[in-house]
Amino acid sequence: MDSKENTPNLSENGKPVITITQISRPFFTHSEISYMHSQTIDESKKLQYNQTKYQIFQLLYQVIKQLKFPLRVLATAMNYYQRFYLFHKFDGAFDDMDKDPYVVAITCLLLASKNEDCIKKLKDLQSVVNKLRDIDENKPVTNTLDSSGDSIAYHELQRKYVLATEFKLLQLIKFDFSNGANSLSIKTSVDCLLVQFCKQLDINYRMSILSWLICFDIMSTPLCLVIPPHCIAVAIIIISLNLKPQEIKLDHHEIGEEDDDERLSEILDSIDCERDFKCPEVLVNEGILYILDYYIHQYSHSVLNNYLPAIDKQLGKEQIFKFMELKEKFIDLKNMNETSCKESLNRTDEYLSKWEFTTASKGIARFMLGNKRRRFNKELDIQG
Amino acid sequence: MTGSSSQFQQLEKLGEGTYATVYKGRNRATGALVALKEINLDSEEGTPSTAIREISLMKELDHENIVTLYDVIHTENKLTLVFEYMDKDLKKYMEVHGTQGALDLKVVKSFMFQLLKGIMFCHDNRVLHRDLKPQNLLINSKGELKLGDFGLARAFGIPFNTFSNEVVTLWYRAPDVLLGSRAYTTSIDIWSAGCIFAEMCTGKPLFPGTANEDQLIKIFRLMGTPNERTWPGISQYANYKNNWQIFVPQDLRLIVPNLDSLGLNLLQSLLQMRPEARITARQALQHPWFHEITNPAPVMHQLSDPYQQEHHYQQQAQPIIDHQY
Repeated sequence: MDSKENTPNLSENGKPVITITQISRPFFTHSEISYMHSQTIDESKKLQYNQTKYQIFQLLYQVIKQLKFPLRVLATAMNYYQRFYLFHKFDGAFDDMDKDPYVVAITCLLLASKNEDCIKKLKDLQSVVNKLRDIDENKPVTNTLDSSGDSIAYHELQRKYVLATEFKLLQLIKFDFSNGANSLSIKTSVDCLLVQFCKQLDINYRMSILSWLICFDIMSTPLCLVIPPHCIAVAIIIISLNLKPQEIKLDHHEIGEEDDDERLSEILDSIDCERDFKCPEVLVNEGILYILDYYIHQYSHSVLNNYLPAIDKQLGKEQIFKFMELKEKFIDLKNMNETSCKESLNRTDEYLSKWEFTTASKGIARFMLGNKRRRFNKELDIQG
Repeated sequence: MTGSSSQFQQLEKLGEGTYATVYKGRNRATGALVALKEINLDSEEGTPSTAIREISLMKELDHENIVTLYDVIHTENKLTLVFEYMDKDLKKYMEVHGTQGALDLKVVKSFMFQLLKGIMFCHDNRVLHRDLKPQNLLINSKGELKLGDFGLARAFGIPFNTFSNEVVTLWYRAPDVLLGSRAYTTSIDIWSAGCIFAEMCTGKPLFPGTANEDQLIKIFRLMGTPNERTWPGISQYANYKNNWQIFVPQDLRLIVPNLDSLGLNLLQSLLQMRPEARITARQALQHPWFHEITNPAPVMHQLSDPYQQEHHYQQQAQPIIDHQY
């Protein structure tokens, strides 16, 4: 069954109406992601996309801190933001609200706060964001949504664009609010899972904090589009227990945890991803390699950099070498096989093409929910 | 969805809620019936968070006693949720099939068993329904009962602030919630189940309060006014008063005279004032009152369900159309 069907239907006046039916695919391979980006982000805008993303994530972090939102709201908002630009063109035009990534950012935060049950009024979200950006939200601007050219308060216009973007975003996440965790018993946020897993494994405070710091770094990467949250959490724990740094700059510590070395090694040896955490090993491996690559390339910009000493005592070298050493150790890990994701095949996969919003405005976009799709076959049989 | 242009033909209106209007619908391809829930979009806040929570929770709750959410349909300015079609809600069912609203005890037992199974599944999956009432329990022609309307439901175990204390419809609201508890958990759904149990037996709501305080007094009148001795810590609740009129607990037998003693024992376990004393859904399902269902001969076949004949007819005539649409 194809995941996307164009089925012409007849409307009352006899004109055909396009119906699109989609089943959510929460994850993509790296090559699928780069294929999708090649359609939505021009080569010349790649750098700008990354810089903007970094600035926006910094801003979102400040916003959730001010609003006292839990971290999972931030993680979900960042997930939505990155998902948005898989299907939607990035123009980086800040002066045009229709294309403004900050409007997208507010929308992602709005939807994330609704989904994570931390509801705040849109007006309040806007006000915090605009204040942090030093924008006078009461200033009159031209109403670009109205041909009359009347002026309207900035925040009013912004609200209209945010609500229109929310409708777009809902389509782009395919109404799938699970962030890829296909069971309610799996929490969807990596930081919550991480704390739970560390407790389950009886990992000490220092190593739990180290895992949490890594989680904080990885949260803003597209890894959440590739593997599910519980696999990311296990990958982070495995890396932490392999790093086992002697020194972390922390205000607090547990008594005697410096002598835990041997016990931590035992914990590491005893982890069975599939048995203990229901994580397919290949996906955890994918996560491990991704995270190591992240630190090898961006360690100096990471949060972790602020908490580890510049030179690792045991190794006598800069921290980055520790990640390189680990990468070497893990180089033979079996990770995701992407042979079925060649560009020629990606091109034929309609799910990966830029989303056509006009379908929903002229016709109907129908989103089937994954675990209920069995009975869809019957419908196709009858139509066929 | 614009009337007849879609995959689904819109039929008569079934009801109207705070954030949605529900229509009966028919799948053009298969002819099967569905319920179409049209979401009203808020011009200030966009898609209501209740709709988002309903989609995100119900998508994962795949159980025979929970209404199935099939699809989400998106057109220019409308959002429609496509649900499995159910004939009527429990309130309507009692009006139509009850003797002055009261149902036959065999039907009550079957419905209670199914209600508790649905609740257990929610709780096992870390979801609180928070708004159980006869209007939210749906019954189909096969005598199956399913939980619907998850607009107020939430996943628990991930606390942020404290939960709002303005949820469960007053009549089915647990005393701890009425007292201002914001740290409630699965036990609030159990209290509601107890109220619904009594209502199915008698045909009348057990505690038809008109306001928060009146609701509490109606509960006290029957269950006895609680105090620090019967409910340690009660004086800590925000809505606690030390000048409540003192009532002594009544015998439930007088209120629900047609229920046998095992049934009364179950009812008593569901309607415990102290939340931590309330039975869980899992324990309730193992209660001896349900033994005739849980033990060998399934009771469903002997049900004197007014629908049963219709059901037999349907089975012969249209074997295809039930769960798929």
